[in-house]
Amino acid sequence: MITSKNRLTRRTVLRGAGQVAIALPFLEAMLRPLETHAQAATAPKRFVVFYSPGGTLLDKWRPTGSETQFTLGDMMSPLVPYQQQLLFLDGLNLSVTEQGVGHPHSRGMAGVLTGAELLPGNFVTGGGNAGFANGPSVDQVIGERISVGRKFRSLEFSTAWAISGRSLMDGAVAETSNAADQITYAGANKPLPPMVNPKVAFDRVFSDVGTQDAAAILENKKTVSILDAVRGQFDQVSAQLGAEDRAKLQEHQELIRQMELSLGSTTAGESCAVPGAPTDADAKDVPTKGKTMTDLLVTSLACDLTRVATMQWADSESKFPLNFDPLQLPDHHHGYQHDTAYDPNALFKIYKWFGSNFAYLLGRLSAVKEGDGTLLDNTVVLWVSEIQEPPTHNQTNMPFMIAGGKNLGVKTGRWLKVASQPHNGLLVTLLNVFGGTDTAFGRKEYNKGALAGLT
Amino acid sequence: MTRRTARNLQIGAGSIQAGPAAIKPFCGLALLVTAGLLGVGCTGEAASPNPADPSHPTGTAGAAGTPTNVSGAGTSGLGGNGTTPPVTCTEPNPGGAPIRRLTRFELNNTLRDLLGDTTRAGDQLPPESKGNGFSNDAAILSSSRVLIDAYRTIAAGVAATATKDAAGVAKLSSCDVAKQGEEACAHDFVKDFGRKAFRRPLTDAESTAAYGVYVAGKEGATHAAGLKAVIEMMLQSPQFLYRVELGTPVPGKSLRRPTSTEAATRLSYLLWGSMPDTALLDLAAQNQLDTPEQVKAQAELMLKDSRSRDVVRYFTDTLYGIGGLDGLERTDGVFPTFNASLGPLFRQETERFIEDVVWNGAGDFATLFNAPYTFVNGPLATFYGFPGVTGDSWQRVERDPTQRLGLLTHASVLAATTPGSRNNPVVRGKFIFEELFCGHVPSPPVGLNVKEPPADPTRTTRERFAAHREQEPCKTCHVMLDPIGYGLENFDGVGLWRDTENGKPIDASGEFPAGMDVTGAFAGPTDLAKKIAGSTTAQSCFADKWLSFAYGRVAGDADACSKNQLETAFNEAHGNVKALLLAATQTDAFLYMPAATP
Repeated sequence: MITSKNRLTRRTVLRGAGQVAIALPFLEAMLRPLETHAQAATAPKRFVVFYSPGGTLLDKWRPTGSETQFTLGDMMSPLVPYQQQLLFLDGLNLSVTEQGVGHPHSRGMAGVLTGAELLPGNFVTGGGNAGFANGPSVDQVIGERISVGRKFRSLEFSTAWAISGRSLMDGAVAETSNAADQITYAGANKPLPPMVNPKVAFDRVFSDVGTQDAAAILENKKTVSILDAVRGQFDQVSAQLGAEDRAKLQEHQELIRQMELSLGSTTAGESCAVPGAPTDADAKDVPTKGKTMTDLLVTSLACDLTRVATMQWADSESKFPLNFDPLQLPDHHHGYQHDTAYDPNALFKIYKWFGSNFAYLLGRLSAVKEGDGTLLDNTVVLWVSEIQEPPTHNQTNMPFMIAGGKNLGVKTGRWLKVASQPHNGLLVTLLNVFGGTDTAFGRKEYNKGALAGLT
Repeated sequence: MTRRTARNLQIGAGSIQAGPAAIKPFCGLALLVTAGLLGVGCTGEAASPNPADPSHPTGTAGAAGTPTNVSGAGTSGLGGNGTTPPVTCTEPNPGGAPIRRLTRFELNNTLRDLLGDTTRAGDQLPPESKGNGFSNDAAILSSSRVLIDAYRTIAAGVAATATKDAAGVAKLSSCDVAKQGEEACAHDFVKDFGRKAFRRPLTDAESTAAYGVYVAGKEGATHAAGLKAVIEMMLQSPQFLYRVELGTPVPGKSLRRPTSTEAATRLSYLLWGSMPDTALLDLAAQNQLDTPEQVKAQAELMLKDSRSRDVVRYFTDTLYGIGGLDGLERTDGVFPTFNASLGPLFRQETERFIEDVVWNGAGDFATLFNAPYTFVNGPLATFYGFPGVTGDSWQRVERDPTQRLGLLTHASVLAATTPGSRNNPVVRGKFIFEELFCGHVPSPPVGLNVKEPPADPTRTTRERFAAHREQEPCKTCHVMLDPIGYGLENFDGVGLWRDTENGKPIDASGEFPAGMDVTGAFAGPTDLAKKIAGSTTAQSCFADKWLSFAYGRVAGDADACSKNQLETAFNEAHGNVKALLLAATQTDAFLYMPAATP
């Protein structure tokens, strides 16, 4: 776990922001310094996606009892402390996986947050050659609405990601990624790879925030001149290219512009505590790395560097070694799903462990005070997977769960059984929880309006 | 140009029209996927009842991919039995030429050659999308903030290292600041470094912009800080990160060809995985890379450079799935003589072997699969049980030719095709069928309870998998895959030889399915290796994989002529790999570009 290095008080943050404005008016114009909401009456709303691979054991996932009076089984017992913050969504289907190409894992990954099908492409799969999902993921659309002006539109974290990629062996390093790895999308065929290295993630998110001395300001100014020149190069080159190539360069250029606008970001938030940089010990194995990444995610929200984040524990192949406590299993998760042989006893332990990691995230969000409540109260956390039933790849009755979001009107402490229907309605409802007036999301024929009963 | 007719190019047996129920082309046969199939396990054990709502059937069989840019999507089978009519190649048909971005491999090499930076800074980038399997598929290029942020971090870090002291600056530029002044030296640097970084002379506008960055970077700092800013800017510019080609019209044809300068960049990334050197750029400046003959002559010279070896190594590491073996783990106790230090040695054995065959030895495809020799060092020899090799230095050894021939019997490939720690002939058979023969196998249908037969201390792996081949729906595909994989049953999950399993003798006989040019039975691993070595289909598949890698795409209909040119040249050269690399500089895809689009 990361310990706090320099806890920024509200006072220092405001002073820092003031120095920027006085010392360097040009920067203010150029960079549009991030608004500070430290004095705002209400805390910002946030959205977090938690992904665990390979579905669940549905009968062990389901509580027993009634909608509001229910008991969690052994597999879900790590979540007992947060039972009143949970909303089980029981009955939604990943219907969009009926469409498109690719392996069920890939189709599920592509569809779970986009509500859209997996497009054809060049990646050879047993179910046809696949590209990526045909649309943006819901977190990105929410990010465009609620994260504007923050340092990052969204942040994506992972641990053991794309390790199976093309290769067939265990424990390989990331070589390439494909649709079986990706859940977040900026748009059709625009996957957003997550950060997998805690040190790199820390440097990217935190290393340059809150440092507003004269030297840092001069460095920022120089970086701005460099990036302006780079964007000028893009203009010159793009103008000479055909439409398709031009679009690719324009996408790249727009992201540079976003990066430029984020320079000189300051932190905010009454409980913002920028952590120290992670060490090798913070990334020594998958569970430790995952906790470190979770800490970074929660801090990035607490400091209001972004309002949308994803914690993707692994890619859907889920082939990282499980030789750690409390698992100590010889094969990998995918092996127990079906790659080697379906093993419900091993899977029980694995899903319970993922549950404990979800509980860890909720615990960290709960530990951040905001106003009279906690960061969890201001955050809707959505837990997803890409299939339901490990041995068959069945994608009906998916184990969707929401946690937190009290201040967004989400009514938790419930086991909500819904009629069998496409999950697109859930995605629509999420958009609307964040102020949207949407009526559809993802593939058209699976849209029947918002899913009622969440708020 | 002479008239050429492409061979049959379609991989697969042709698609089968979908009927009202889910029908998918399935291992070359139409298979009706009905509800009755759901819940059937491939071991014959009944699975739990499927809770699917019948009105929401889960994942009906995947539709075939678009035929425009993929071959044989959704079908199975091999080249040579397709139904696509022959393509005439009377006119050059280069296929598409979308803009390409440097891969991590290429970026690392380029930073090494441009600035002497060997820190592999490119590894900070997120992994490329898989696409064609070689990380360089131009069709699926997209950007993300995490990528763009990493480019900035890399550019800043590399530029800072290059300019951190006087010695570094002296290496960057021979201009004498004391004599010529900072301004003149800055202009000089922009011109010289810019030409290397952008792989062509800068335009006036580019020079002006770069000088402006120098001035801004120098503010309140030094000349070196100004140079640093220029480097930082150029390393994030599209002219550096992307391979921008504008081309020049080919008179009388609706085509372009790369300019000499662009041809230099095509050559250098194809054969060196890196930027063109000054000699190549000088040649280009004199328009000496305008004709196929000029290109080929230069390519022959370039193959003498060791950077070509790096490219072939990257290709085969990726193709054979051994690039990630350094992280190989095995369940404790299953293989008592295996330890984590062996993974890298497995990879190096195959790399050294391939390098020797291609660059020093027979040079041909067949030898990769039937050579009796290999390379080991002391620890690896001890692991294999090869006598007489000690110490860390590598040496060539002859192996028992009744047990091991070629790279398929290397521990690298055998371990890489063993998920977990138990042998899986399906995975090995699929690897051979797909990666060595360019065959295509569909996934098991959704709803099928995929179960590996349980571990059984009284049976061999082959016996455990027998049900696969005997019952529907499994056997449709598994009669094609499993018997190929059985040929490697004499090797365990880390590639060690075994005569028995669970006290029973190993039966490593197998057979190739009908329709392949190596049809029929084989007696064991060395017989299997010889069949692959002698297969024209496997040899052509190697050329097709090289095409994918070389041009950053998957061969589609528009690439039919280039594919034919490459396969023909490779086969006429009796599978000589260097000849294949040269041939890749003589195809329509290399020598031409499509007409400009608005």
